[in-house]
Amino acid sequence: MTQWHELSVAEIGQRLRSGELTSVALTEYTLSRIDAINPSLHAFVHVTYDRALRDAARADGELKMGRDRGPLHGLPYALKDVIDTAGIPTTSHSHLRLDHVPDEDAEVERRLRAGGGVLVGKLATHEYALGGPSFELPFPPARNPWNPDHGPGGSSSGSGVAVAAGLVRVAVGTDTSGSVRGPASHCGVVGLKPTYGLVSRRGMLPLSYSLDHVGPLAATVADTAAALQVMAGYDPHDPGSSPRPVPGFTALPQEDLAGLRIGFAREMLCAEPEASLEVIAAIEGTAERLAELGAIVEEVTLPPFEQFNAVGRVIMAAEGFSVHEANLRCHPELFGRYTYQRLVPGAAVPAADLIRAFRLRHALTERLDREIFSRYDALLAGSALTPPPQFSDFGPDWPPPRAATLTQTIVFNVTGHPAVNVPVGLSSSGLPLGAQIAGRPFEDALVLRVAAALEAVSEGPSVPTWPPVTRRLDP
Amino acid sequence: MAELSSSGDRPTEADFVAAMRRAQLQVPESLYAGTLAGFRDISAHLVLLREMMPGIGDPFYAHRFPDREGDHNDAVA
Repeated sequence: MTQWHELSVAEIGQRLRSGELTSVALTEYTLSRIDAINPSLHAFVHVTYDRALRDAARADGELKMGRDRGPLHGLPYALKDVIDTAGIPTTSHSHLRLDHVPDEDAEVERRLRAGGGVLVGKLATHEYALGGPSFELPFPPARNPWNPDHGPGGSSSGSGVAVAAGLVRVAVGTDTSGSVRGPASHCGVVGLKPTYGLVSRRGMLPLSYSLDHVGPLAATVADTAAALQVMAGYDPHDPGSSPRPVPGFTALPQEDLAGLRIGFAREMLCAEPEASLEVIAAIEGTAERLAELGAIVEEVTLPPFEQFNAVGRVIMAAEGFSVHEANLRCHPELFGRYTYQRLVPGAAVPAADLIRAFRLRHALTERLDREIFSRYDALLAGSALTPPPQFSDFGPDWPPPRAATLTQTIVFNVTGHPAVNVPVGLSSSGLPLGAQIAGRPFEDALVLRVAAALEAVSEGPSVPTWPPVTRRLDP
Repeated sequence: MAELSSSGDRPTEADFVAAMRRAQLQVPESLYAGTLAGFRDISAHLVLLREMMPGIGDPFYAHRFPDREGDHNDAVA
């Protein structure tokens, strides 16, 4: 018998609207499941019991009166703990922010709540959406539900875990160099970095002003589309927000991909010497499936990954340092080791180099548009290039071994193009693998359509499957 | 670090110490090794950027301008 956490957003919506299920019952079930599972996985750092039940009761009452707020009405969801929630602690997983209780909701939270969603809690993150899996922070790191000896990726670690473990159908993360898509890959769920400007960042604690994105993680592509529909929209208070009208995302066509042209960035993927052969094979298999679905798939050559990486890392270092400069100077002991060691080098980026990075960003974006997206509707690329690393791979100091954090996601933070991680199978050790589908700016719907077609024929973990965790790993 | 610009050489630990001094940062001894590693990582990216974008004579010089807030969105809009 299907359990409630296995129901899709659409199925839950049908049951809520038919009266077969109430949001209060679903929320109580969700909170019980969090209580049972979270002590092993540490996805949540704060659970909003009372408010969730109040909001669920309101959602039920509104539906009874015929007021329907949309696809997430009555649905439990959770937010990465760098996203402000009025009256609810928003700690960024940092000792420095333990007392931070915002006065206002972030714009994305305002939209989710206005859409009838039921916030059940705040989710673990790498400190300040940057650091790494650390044990010296106020909360333990989230653990991968596929094998809790392994990390879930980051920095939206709790978001990936919460969805994969069936604690929520929809979670919200942030993505500055891959922090939605990396955890999605490592946890076997869908994670979308929308087009830059589609979802407001106002009220998220910034890491890098011009690379930050907010995006959904969800159990399926359709669930992801439902979340994006509610989250997207113009915000005049986010200078990067686009005033374009928001298109429909939820009507994913149930059709093959005949006629679509898809570039395959195989050269970039295979040029990375430490990429897992299992990952490469899984993505090559994905290219074959896309062709079987009717797409015209051709290998394409992108500018070298190291150019995108240099641009992204330099901008992120400089902008991140500017955010945290005062605390880095006055309270170095209150940062996690990785966070400090990654932020401080931003002090050494001269203005001339930051300008070089900005200019090269424009050049790379134009090259992608001119050389790839003028000829192809979508692009298949690597997401995380290894299966999830073990916690023991991470030593006390930055950096960990290159393979422990290897992704090619930063490419689309630099260029702003939409990109989604879609699960594409399991490694020989039973851990999730993902691939990335990118598209033209503001063609997020097409990116989701390709992902949905792949999901329909994929052997990967496209629905939350959570092996029981019977042991508690942290003191 | 300023010397890095003209020579393109890999930065040294002395460059790191000087950069931290200019930024008025006192790196705790217990965090020193990883912070130096982070500095070396960023510095390697700077070397690549300087090779790609030397300024006068670089392939984008004539028609590329520094970003400002909002421009990035314009570029993809």
